[in-house]
Amino acid sequence: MKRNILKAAVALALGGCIAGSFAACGGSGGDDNTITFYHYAVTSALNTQLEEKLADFTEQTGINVRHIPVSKDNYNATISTRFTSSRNDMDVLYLDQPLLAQYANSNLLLNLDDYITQSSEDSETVAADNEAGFAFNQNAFNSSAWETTVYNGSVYGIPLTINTSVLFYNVATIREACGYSSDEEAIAAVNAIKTWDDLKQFASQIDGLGSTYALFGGMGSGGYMGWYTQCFVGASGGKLYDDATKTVLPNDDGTITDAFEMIKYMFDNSPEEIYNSNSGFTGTTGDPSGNVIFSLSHSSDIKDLDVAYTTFGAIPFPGKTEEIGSVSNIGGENLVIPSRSENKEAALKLIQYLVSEDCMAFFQQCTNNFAAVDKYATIDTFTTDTTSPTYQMYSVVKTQLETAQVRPVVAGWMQVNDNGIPTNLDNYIDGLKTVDEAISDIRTYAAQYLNN
Amino acid sequence: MKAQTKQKLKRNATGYAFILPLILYFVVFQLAPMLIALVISFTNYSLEHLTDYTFVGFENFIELFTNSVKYPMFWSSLKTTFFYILLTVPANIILALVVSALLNSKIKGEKFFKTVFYIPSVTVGVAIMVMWQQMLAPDGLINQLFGTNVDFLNNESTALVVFAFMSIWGGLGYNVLIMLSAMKNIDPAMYEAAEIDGAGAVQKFLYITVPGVMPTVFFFLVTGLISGFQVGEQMLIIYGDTTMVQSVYTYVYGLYYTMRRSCDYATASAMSYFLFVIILIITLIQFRVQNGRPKFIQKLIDRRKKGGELVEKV
Amino acid sequence: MKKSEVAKLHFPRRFSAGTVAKKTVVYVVLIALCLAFIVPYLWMIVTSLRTEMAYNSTGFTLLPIDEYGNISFHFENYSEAFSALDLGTVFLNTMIVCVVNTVANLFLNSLAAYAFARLKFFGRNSVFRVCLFSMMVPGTVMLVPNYLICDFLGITDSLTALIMPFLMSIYNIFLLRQQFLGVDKEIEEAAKIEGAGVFRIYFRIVLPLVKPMLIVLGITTFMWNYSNYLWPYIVNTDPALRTLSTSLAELMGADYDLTVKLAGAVIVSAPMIIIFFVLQKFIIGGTMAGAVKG
Repeated sequence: MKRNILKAAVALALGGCIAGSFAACGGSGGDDNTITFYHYAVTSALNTQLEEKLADFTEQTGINVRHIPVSKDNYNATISTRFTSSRNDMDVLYLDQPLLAQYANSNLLLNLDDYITQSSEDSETVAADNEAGFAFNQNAFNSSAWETTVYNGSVYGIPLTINTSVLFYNVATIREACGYSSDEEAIAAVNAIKTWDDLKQFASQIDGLGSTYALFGGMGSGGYMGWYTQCFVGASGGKLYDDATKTVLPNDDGTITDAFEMIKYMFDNSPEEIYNSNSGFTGTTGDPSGNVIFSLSHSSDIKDLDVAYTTFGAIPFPGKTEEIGSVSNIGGENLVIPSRSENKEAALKLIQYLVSEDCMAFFQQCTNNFAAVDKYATIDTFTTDTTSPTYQMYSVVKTQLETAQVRPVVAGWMQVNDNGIPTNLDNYIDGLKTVDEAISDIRTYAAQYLNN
Repeated sequence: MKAQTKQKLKRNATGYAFILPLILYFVVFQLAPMLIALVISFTNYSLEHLTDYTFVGFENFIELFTNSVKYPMFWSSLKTTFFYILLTVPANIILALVVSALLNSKIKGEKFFKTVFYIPSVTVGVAIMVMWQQMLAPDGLINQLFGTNVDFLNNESTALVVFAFMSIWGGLGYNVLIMLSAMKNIDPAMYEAAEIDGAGAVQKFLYITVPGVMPTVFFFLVTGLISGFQVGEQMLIIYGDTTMVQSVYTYVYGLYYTMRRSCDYATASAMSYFLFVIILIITLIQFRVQNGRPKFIQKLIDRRKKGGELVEKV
Repeated sequence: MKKSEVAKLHFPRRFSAGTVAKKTVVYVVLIALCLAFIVPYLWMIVTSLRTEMAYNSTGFTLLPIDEYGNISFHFENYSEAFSALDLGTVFLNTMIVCVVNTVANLFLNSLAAYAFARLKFFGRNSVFRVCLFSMMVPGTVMLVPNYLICDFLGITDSLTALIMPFLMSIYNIFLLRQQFLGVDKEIEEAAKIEGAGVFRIYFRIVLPLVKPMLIVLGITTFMWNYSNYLWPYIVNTDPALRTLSTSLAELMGADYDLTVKLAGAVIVSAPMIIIFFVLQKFIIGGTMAGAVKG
């Protein structure tokens, strides 16, 4: 008797558990009035805010939003896997800028051309546009950000938040390294840097550059290095890719060579063991000056530079010459709709809502990036104290965004950005390749991936 | 005659009833994925060709092996993996040997030490990575302890060593348990005999303990090679898909890049099948060595047969 | 005459000066090694109780001190980690997955292992060999195809997707078969003569004999499912279906203080470590026994 009970118990437990877990599935999807929104994960406090925003949206439109936060590290892998599924559960998603071309090229994204207008922003025009079925006005967005969404002449996404790179500095470090007597003097000297020659001139007055001090904190590796390369190439007056002639690293005018040489100059004066230590740039409470003069980075870092023990500041990324002026790169996220979404109208409405004034400040706060809609890109979200260094740094980033240049929106550029450029640039910096070899090797690499 | 057939049938039926769940499971979740992956590796199935994929024959493999422009990291990632194995496997074996010998020297608190060493084996992998990531940061525990200022995980010259260290640290507890049980199976009489002959601790270790646990060492060697070739998930947890330090770009990390970032599932499948072939070769060599052992191992085992026999099956 | 031999002549062996010195060295080495294991955990726990500010402004310490050097505990890191991990849901999910998989694994694996070890049927060895062969296939091969299969079966975005692909383990079958081979056949013969059926012999007689191994395999299966990280990410995206491991990875990837991240790591690793301390006798004993027989 006892034996059978035992046997039955095991069978029951097993069967029950399996059946139970089966029952746990299902539920999602299939609902006409529910759309799914994939986005980067945020802290739980911000997540609560996002849910409130989405609840407001539901109240306004009657559309339910199921939102799926995924951490940045796993985001791209997660959504790409979802595209291989036979069923679609994505209606609106964040998409990293360099991936847009890849997805658009694979016909996975909805072409938004029909919903875009280019008109002035007065309320009458907006109302008329809405009447006519245009959901978005291109002129309202940062123009470089907009370019990141255009693939082969068609719009595949709506920019949400944007970011760009500038040079950050630690006043205590500058003062110590250059021997200035006051903070003001140090700040003035740094802010006088407008061109690459100025930068070199400035560097030449630093005792122990390359031994005690590193000129900058490097360019990261992999994809980051590819992204920062855009700064140098843009600032030297060139571009990474010429759409018209389909040339990678067009170098007839020597702009690429100049950019690469400038990168090498920066690295040659920046020993890795100095910049690869954290306090190298930020200093510490006890010793506010670090050993890294500049940090080429973006606005996400500013919140970490809000410290009591020293002052940080930022200058725009200098151009090669004064005529070219300051130019930098652009990064950030776009919102896209998968072409197989069954609820495109609702998805469009959600995107409209997400780029509205209601949400933009919130996304600025989440990402520490600026809103892609020009009029909502305000520093107030980050700080209201206009005299604070934080405000200064954000305002430099904001100004820099006006001259930020987009990376090539070409399918396959992602691999060039992640591997082709950093690997060869590294080899050139380490002296394993000449600048011409590095450029031609990047071209050869790119030819393998850019098949158009 | 008929009864016999009937009995045979019943026997077969019982046998298959016992392995029926296995067969179902195996077909659906082992065999089918293996075949699907094999088929995929001969197509151009990728994010670009989700629905319109075609067969491309051996192209993916040929491209991987020969196109050093398109896949510049392919061979170098194998080299990195080899280097990782060189860092971990011998260290694992030597540490396991030494620590087990110390624990086996009739000391008090053997249980306590074993327990402490085993804790990482029962700690969730991601938690261990969180812990080490913070400890190895420039302002983390290690730098604080030694008064240094090194970004261990982002420094080309330290990153791989650090990963090897983490793996050795995490595996020590388990390795010691296996090694210790092998040592405990060595006949104590041999040690007594050696003592009478005047052998010291080091001599006993070298001439009795080490040969006695040779099969276990061999086991560590094979499993270390197999798991060493599959290292990559730790790097993925620490660096994500792209922010990569060249020196930790292992084979499987490259595979994850191809799969997760490039979304080139066909090439990723081809890469994993090549990995499978490597592991297959190692395993075949292992069988070869176990069944027809090279002379030096046979000699070692013969010498200490009694101690070895029990652990040989490992 | 060598020094050690002199010692041997004059003192009983166990009290010799050389032995004491040697023992001391052994203890010192082992304790130093122990510290390399205890300090990281201690540091993690202590740091998870501090503020980021305090952490940044002090050097190495294993005391939960604030920036002014006073002892203070900041349990709010834990409450933040609790809500960030969505612990209630996530813990329940993890337990469902781990318990079902462990029970199913032990039962189904031992069933198959017993058949391979004891039952005679047509094609037994071939089937076993094919299964063993699959053990060599690296796990990464399976990720994409398994997703496609789960998608085909319609079980993605459910806990079932975390259970079905891991209901059995060939490696565990292999280990259990070795165990069954070591069981004395006479016991089974005796039971057979008494008229016991095959299943009853397996379930009532042989299975209890390999209990230590079952405990070890149970723990490792539980642990493996508890730690499983890549697969849940691929197959489930709904936050309501996260497990402790994936939820911790999410916490790690989001913008939290380092102290909150470490608190999360402590919360997630604590249950397994506690289980280990409770069952350590079985786990350590079983692993060692398995090493010899397996």
